[in-house]
Amino acid sequence: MTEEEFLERWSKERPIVEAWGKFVAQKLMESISPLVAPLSADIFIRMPAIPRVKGDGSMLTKAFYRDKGYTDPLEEITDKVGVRFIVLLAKEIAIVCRAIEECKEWEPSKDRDYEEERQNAPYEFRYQSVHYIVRCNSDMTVGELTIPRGIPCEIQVRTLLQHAHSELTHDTIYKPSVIQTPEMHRAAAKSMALIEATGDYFAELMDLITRSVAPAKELSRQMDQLYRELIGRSPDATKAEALLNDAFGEFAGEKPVDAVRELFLQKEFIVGRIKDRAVSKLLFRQPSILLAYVAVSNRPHDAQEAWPLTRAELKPIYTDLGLSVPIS
Amino acid sequence: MWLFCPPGLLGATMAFENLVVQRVVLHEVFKRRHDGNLVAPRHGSQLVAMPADALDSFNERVIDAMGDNSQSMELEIAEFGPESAVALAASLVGKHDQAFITDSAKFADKLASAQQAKNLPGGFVVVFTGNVGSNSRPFVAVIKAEKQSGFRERGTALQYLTDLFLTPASKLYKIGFFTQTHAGRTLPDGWAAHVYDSHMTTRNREGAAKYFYGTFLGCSLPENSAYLTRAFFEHTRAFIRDLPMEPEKKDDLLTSLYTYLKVDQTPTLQVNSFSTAYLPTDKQDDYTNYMRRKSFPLTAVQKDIGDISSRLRKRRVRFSGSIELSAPPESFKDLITMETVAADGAGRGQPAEWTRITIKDRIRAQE
Repeated sequence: MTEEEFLERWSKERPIVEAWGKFVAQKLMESISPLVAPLSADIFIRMPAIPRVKGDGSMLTKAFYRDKGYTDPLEEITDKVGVRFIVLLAKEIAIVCRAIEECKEWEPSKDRDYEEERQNAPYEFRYQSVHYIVRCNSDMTVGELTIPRGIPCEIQVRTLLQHAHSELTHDTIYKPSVIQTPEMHRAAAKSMALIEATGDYFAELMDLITRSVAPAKELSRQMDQLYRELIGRSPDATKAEALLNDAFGEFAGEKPVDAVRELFLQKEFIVGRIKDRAVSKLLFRQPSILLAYVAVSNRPHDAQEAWPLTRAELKPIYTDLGLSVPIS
Repeated sequence: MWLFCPPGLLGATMAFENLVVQRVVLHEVFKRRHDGNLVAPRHGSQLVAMPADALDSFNERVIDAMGDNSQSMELEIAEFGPESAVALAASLVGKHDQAFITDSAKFADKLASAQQAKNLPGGFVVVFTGNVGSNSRPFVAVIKAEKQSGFRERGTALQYLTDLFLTPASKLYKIGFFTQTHAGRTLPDGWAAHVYDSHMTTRNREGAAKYFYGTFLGCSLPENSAYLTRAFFEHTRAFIRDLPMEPEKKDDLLTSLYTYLKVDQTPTLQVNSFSTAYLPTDKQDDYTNYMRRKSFPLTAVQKDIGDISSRLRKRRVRFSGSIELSAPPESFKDLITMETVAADGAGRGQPAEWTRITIKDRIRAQE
């Protein structure tokens, strides 16, 4: 096959490959979503997962000049389209892998696994990433295109740190165009070793953070449930939730759920007030707004002191409870 | 007094919680002419429509003036004949809108004739009704809101506005608030009156405030003020005595209590004003909750030290061996300091702490 013939076939296949890449990226984001909730998948995946189709030049290079021994290069090249999923911590890679492996639309095969590579070569520090090739299970119609069974897409999964290393090294050292020197190899290996150590420290730090916010998180979870039950709508937790939780958590005592229930039993009207305000005010869509009512009701003065933002935001709660703000 | 045996109002119930304003109508009264003749009030002809955020602010103004921790007072209803304010309020409950608008104008007429003095300013008369309290009792309330002036930015120019009212400047409005506590009783039973007027809590209030709460609203200062003042004194003293703090600090607080009741010239007393003036920040809610548990009102109370004047005249501190230090509270505040010190060289069975008393004076006379 000549280069012209190859390019002609490739230009026909390209839109199909592109559509498959888009489908894979979108489908995978959707599958990650429930695995990381309540965190949004857009935050969990640290860079937008945008599929990229190989350019004509690099297709040609790969097909004819890299001595790959292809018989039908266009069939055999598996990274015609690729998409990258970048996470923060090494342990989060497993979540993306799970989503890839559980998806019913494709057949996944793990092409590269850095953990396995580490096992096999414990003294080496080099490019780390998890690669999958996912192939379409059966013919699929997307828009006006038919994606035939078996079309491949490469998925790379790595951490931000691994990604930084790869951005720096991949286009130079592992491509034959640049002369590799022992110094370059050594410098790259040193930075990978450091990145691996940093990754461990990140994990350690995250553990400490997770442990320290565990009680607050649990309180928020309880309030979330209670909010749904009492107010009859789903809350919309943002950073304000953490502020409320932080400021008013301790006002509700040992059994915060009971404290909220007791107050709402005594003063049923609060439900209506929260419902009305939730429509237009974000603060009243936070689960821990329930705790704010408990705090203001029991200790109006201290509640005002505990709130880190302006007093005007709490004012409606005082008004609902028939309290003048203690100090204005 | 229903405040002391309030069915459904015991414990943590706050009288002005769950305020829901349903109807608002606006009238206007004017200052009297130079010759003292009345200028006829302007009567509103329709209900005032308020968007949600305006209604929120309106509620806030009312609660700031009336709610727990505010300077409003519960008064006794003294006039309840057919032409009285409370009878008018009672007649407005459940009335359909048009009759409500027409009849509510009687409040404006009543206020205009109550304003006998020529120096009294005019203002808007806001009559509003709705429900209040966790058990949603009907209420009828009247605000007299004086007009204020202010500026509004208009590009490069400033627009001067002279008809603002109900801004947060609460000195410029007064509220009379009638709540129906029980339906179907003969007036004045079944109704409670609360009044907010900044003049009621300042000195020389008689002239300035009486036309509103007395002549206009037909209310009088409660007769149990002396009893309430004594209760305030006793509960507060018990609270201070139980505080987990050093004797000197408690001593200072007790001195403050005497000062607050006797030296301070404010004609009212109020839990929040005492606590913010004298108590440590972290004890203020404890104090409020303590007084609430004792069913002491959290709004203002007429100060009447008649029942406790002999106890306030002299403060006494007693020690063993018939030693007694007694002085008027002013002197305790200004001239005496007491400190607890470690008993240096105390014998067995003697107290481990002594008291050092400093009197900022030489001995004037001895017996």
